[in-house]
Amino acid sequence: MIDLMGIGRHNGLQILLSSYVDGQVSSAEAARVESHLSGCEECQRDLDNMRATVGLLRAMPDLQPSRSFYLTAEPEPVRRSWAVQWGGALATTAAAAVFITLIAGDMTGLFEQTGLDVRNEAASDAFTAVQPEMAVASDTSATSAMAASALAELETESAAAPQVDSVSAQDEGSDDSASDAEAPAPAGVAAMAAPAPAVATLAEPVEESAAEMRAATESERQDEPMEGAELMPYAGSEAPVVDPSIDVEKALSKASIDSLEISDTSADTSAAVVASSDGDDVPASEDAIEPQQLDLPPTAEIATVAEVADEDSTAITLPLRQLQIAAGAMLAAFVAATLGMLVRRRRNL
Amino acid sequence: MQPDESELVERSKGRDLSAFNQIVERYQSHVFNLSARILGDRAAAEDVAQETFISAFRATDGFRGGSLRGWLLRIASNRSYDSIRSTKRRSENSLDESLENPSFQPASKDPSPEQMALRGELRDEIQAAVLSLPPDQRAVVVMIDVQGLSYDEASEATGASLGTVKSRLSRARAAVRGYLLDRSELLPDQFRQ
Repeated sequence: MIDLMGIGRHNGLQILLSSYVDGQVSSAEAARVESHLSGCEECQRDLDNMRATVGLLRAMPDLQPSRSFYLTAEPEPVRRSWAVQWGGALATTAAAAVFITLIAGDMTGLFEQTGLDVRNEAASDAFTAVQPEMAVASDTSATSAMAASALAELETESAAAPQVDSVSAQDEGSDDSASDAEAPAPAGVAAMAAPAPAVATLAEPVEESAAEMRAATESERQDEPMEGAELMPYAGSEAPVVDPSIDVEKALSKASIDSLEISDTSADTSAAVVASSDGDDVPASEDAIEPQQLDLPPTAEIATVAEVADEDSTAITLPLRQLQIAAGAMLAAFVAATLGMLVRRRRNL
Repeated sequence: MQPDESELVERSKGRDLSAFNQIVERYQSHVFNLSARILGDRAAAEDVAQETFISAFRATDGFRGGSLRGWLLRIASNRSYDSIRSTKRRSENSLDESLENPSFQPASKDPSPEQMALRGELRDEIQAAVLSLPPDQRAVVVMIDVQGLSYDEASEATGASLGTVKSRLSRARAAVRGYLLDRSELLPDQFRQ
């Protein structure tokens, strides 16, 4: 068995012995080695073997090259053409610019995405963004429906005033609970009888705005839910309970959408979405609506929704995701190539 | 760095080729021998040596003082590592025939007794033992044991710390010893213990 200088046993001493052979140890280290050697034959044998090996290596002759290596002419500096020298940097910069432009265009709505999946995603974005409007629209259309039914009721029966208080009491809590909206519709309708004249005065402009909003849902919108978002018609089967004290105009322009009441199931879902104003439940979080930012125009201006929707259809259509991925990959490749060149250049020195 | 070398270096930085060639004359044997022992290939070592001096001339502005020999050998060892990676033809028993050629025996006209006592076969086995080492251990043992560099010069030439140099040297010596013991019939009696 070959004893490789006792490496397995006194491994920690081998480096010291090697340096001791060359005199490259401190006084303290030399004393330690000599003290150990005096009592360890194995290490003494290792030291002798090491000295013999070093002797053999030092006896290796110098080799004579077949030629000299003088420089006969000044070597040309490594000068790359302007294109090669700066091409990498320019390509990296261009790739970065393309990548940033695609990202910025996506975020600002300059670019529209193409493709069915993208459309579905955008549609869900629009749907999510629509919820505030839907809350408003449902309330608005509900108000108009309520007003219409209230007018009809006035023709057939007299109002039950005491009911107003109970409904109002319910409605006061309706900001936080959708279940309140399922209060018996007849009671709600009856409650509207007393303040019906006030409601009726609002019904007409509200009805007009609701109709225009429903018309606006026909236009295609895939982005910018904040502007001209597609509005969904209210699909509730029962007229929601509306607090006659609610100022409809004020409600439409109210910044905090989550205070609005939704009565049907789809409205409940939207209410849940709206309630999560931080966008956690929103499919496209980056486009999540902050209800506080929603600033619906007064009723008379709702007609402009359709116009805004039409204006936005002029956005540039691109396979945005694919381009972003490609630009990002290109940028990463150029950066890696530039770093590789820098490392090689440094190693050559 | 020797006193007159600083002037040669400064003139070389000014693209004075004659001054730089004086540096070449002084260190070309060191550079060539280091490459030859690391690569075990004379032709490849000559290419590395030439590339080393070309690179050194271009990079004289980057020389910040210290051991000029260590600086040159660092360039040479890096070039040698590149050559190893590019050729990928190192094996434990491989040995280029050119190193065995008697026509390339000791450059010195007055070889030492130790060199005279070293037979050709033994020199070949020692070279083979060196080639069996990993490149980093190979460079250190050649620099210190074959070429006689100090630990500090070897540290500067390899870019490794002093402790790392000592560790690599210890392992290299142990491995060379083990390699030679497998072929103990070649060893002089006083080396077989």
